[in-house]
Amino acid sequence: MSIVETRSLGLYQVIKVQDDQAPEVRPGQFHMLSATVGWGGEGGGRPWLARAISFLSSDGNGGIEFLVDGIGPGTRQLALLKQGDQLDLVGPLGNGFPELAASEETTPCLVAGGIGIAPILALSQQLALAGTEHDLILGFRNAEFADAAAAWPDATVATDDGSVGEQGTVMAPLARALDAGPRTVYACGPPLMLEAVRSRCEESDTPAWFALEAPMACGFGACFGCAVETKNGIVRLCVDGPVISGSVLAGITSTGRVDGQ
Amino acid sequence: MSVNFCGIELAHPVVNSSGTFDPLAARRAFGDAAFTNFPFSAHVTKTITVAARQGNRPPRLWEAPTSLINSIGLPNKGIERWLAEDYPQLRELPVPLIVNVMGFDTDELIQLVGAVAQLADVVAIELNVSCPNVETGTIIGSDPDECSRTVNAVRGLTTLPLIVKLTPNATDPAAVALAAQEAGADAISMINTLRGLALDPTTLEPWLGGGTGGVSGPAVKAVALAQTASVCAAVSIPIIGMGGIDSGHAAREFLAAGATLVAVGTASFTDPTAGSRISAELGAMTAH
Repeated sequence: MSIVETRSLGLYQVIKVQDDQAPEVRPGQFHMLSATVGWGGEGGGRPWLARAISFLSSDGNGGIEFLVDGIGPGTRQLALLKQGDQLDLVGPLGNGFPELAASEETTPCLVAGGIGIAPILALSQQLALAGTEHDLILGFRNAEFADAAAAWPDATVATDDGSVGEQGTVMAPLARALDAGPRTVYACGPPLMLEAVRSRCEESDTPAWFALEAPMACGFGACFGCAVETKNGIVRLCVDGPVISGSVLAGITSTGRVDGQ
Repeated sequence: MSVNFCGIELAHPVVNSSGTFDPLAARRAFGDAAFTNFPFSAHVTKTITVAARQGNRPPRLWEAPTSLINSIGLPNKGIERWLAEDYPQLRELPVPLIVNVMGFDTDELIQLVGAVAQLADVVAIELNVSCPNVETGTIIGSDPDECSRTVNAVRGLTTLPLIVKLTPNATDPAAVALAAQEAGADAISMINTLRGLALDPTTLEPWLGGGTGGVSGPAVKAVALAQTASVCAAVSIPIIGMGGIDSGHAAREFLAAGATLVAVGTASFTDPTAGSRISAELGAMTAH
């Protein structure tokens, strides 16, 4: 599939494809992405497996934007792709964030950190289109990354160094939101941040949904590789997730392994 | 390109490796086309055990150059739930069904083979012998005597073809294959994954939850091809060759080494339709 547009968003790269045959996508779902040409070209023949990437936005007419942080052999190659380059795409995969029940009397509170902003901004876009008021809290390391937030003027932004928005993590704005009234939290970001959010939501009995990440080979339930431990045993993030209810999580870690449950 | 394997007529020689393609998951993700345009000429199930298994603790995957190291640990719902929930759906596949089982002792294996042999839509049974003898600790597939005893224990239970899935982690896979043949196995499939270790780049501790893992992918193809050629020379029963096959050319190499069928494994992870592509490429090559 041809890439129709690329642009930078802070230190991240946006890749847009147009697929008129694409099924409807739900925020929180992901695709397996690999470059059609040159994939595997980095040192030692990596990357080899496709990379699971959430979409940042969808125009409802087959135009989908992915957000890539070029930090490893696979994401670096994806981030180097230009308009007209070919992208192999399998998806949409996974469950996505649950639909809000019409009877829901809580306000959605969306919390994201770093590259985790992609599915959260997709959800924010969907809620905004439906006219649903919601909180949007975005955390970044510093101004270079936080450039991405400029496109979302309604977001509350926190940076570790205070260069943009308030100084600190997403936890202070989250606490203010939880104090303001009943909330349902939707979160994506690094495991340490998600664990802090999960623990805070657990303390206040706040329903919460987490878009998690794990090393993934196939993305559609065949390899059983993307295992994460929950209170209900091991689940596969690609088919049982990637969005998991906080009610079944005893902890969120970078390995998927949670001790002491 | 149709081929006869143990009396079973298959449309082409490309099947899937056990545990690398789940038709039910594929149908949920990609719709009915995953069944109707099934990429393989037969479906080999993921290993089924007597008891349900969660599998190994995460992390379970590590990407290495053109390979994958996995420590999955045979998660499955156990034979009873598989019979009740999965088999009725799998029998709707447009291709024959080969069921892969593993017993942790002889009684378990007898129970599994006995149950599967009764199923009308199963055409063959594959024995995963990459497990230890619980009394001696020896990996059954690494030892000719152990392998012989295992095949003997179930040979009389069924007239269905019995396929022994060999491990490459053996001193002499050809001797194990020969022992399997003499004990009455109808075919050999090979190779299972090669034992490998991935270290966390920061801590230098084992990365995988299970400690070591199994290496698959194009990086193991040369090893698989050598072992396949060696086993094909030693036995007269048919071989399902596999290990890093990701193209029609690679499939053709295993057939040239003497395999009757080839299996595609890890390639289906990077492209769920890899089996169709590989059989089409193979067909185009052999047509000339």
